[in-house]
Amino acid sequence: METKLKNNTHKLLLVAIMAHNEEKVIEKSIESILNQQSPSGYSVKVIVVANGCVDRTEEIVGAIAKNNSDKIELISISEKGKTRAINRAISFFEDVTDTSSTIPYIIFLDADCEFIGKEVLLDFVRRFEETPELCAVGADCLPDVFFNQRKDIVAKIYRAVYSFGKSLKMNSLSGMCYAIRYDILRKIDFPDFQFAEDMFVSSRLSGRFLKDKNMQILFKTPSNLHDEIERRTRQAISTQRYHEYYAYLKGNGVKVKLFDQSIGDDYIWRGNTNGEILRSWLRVSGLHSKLLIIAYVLIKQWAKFRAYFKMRKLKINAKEDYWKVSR
Amino acid sequence: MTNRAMLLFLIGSTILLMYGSSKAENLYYAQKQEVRIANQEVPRITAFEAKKLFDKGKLILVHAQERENFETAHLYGSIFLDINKLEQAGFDLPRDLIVAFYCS
Repeated sequence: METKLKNNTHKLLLVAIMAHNEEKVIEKSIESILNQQSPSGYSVKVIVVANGCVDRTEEIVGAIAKNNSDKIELISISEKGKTRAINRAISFFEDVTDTSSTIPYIIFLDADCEFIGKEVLLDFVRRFEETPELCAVGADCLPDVFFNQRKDIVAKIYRAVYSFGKSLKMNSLSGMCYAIRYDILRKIDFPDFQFAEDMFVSSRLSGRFLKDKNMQILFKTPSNLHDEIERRTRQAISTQRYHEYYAYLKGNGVKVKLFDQSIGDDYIWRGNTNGEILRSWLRVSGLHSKLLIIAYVLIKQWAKFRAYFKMRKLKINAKEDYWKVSR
Repeated sequence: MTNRAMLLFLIGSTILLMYGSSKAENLYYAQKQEVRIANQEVPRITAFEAKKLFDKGKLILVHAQERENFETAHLYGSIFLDINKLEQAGFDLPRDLIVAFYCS
């Protein structure tokens, strides 16, 4: 495995998937990467970090890797957690390559997401080359309900909220898919616990990123209301932990931002996503759309409420150093 | 009594005015659209019908021009899709919903 990466004469464009029990979706995700056109001078490599999987994820990835041994690498770790998996992936790259010269960029893609089109990797590289000051580029994420026949409440909420969301001038990285310069990624010390890593990356880059609608991905929408509430609760916990960790770092005199200022005003989003979505309620005239926006806000608030109590329980039970960072 | 009658009259006339103006606008756009139709085989929809369906959640509005154009200005609630890329990736648009493409 080591020789394979070391002997690589091209620059490596890594697409990393952090997978935790993703047997139902991971095949499509990997296929969409393998279908991409490679930017000239780069060879594309898919790195799957299976973290704490107890389903068939590793087996499925292993089977695909057998047929594409030079394109797919599977790393298995027993403990779950996206940031832990990212740390493990970074250690792997550090061990096996001369990273500064062979890996310019790394693209993170969630296991339940697929690239739309075959030129997403080309567009990512082009974007970086056009604007060398950029540290990261986020993709535009579309829910799969724009392409299926679902008529349940969750599908309707996603269609409505994402339609209005596209009209807001948001510039934030989404953890579902973003590309980041590898030299910058190495400077971001992710803690080994679960938290909103995309928000952490965004905050450290001081606005040196943008979301580009040229690169679009499709993500899987929760299939029912229960799953949606669970998803939002996980998100709310991650967000809350991010805020607490950020405050903890600042409180301990850690310089959180990697740069003193952003590239320009166009590259920074100072709004509040939920606030903006709620404000769109005033601009929508149909009762149906208004109700869907209210349902969205209620679900998110309910998830925050649940997250608060879950976090409280977690803190009471925490015995070790809660914020210990290790790589 | 007089006040009530005045109030009723005002409400009634406002409703009539709003109805009349929307009809007039409908007619204006319908006429304008007729002139512009190039490919008869492509189903058309008026902006007002589209708005009604959109408000009921039965229509997805797609910006049909370049991404740069979308960034500059687009209709509120519309999304940007690159149809060529969608075809490449083998995605189908939903059959039970109306997907309306517009350009300015």
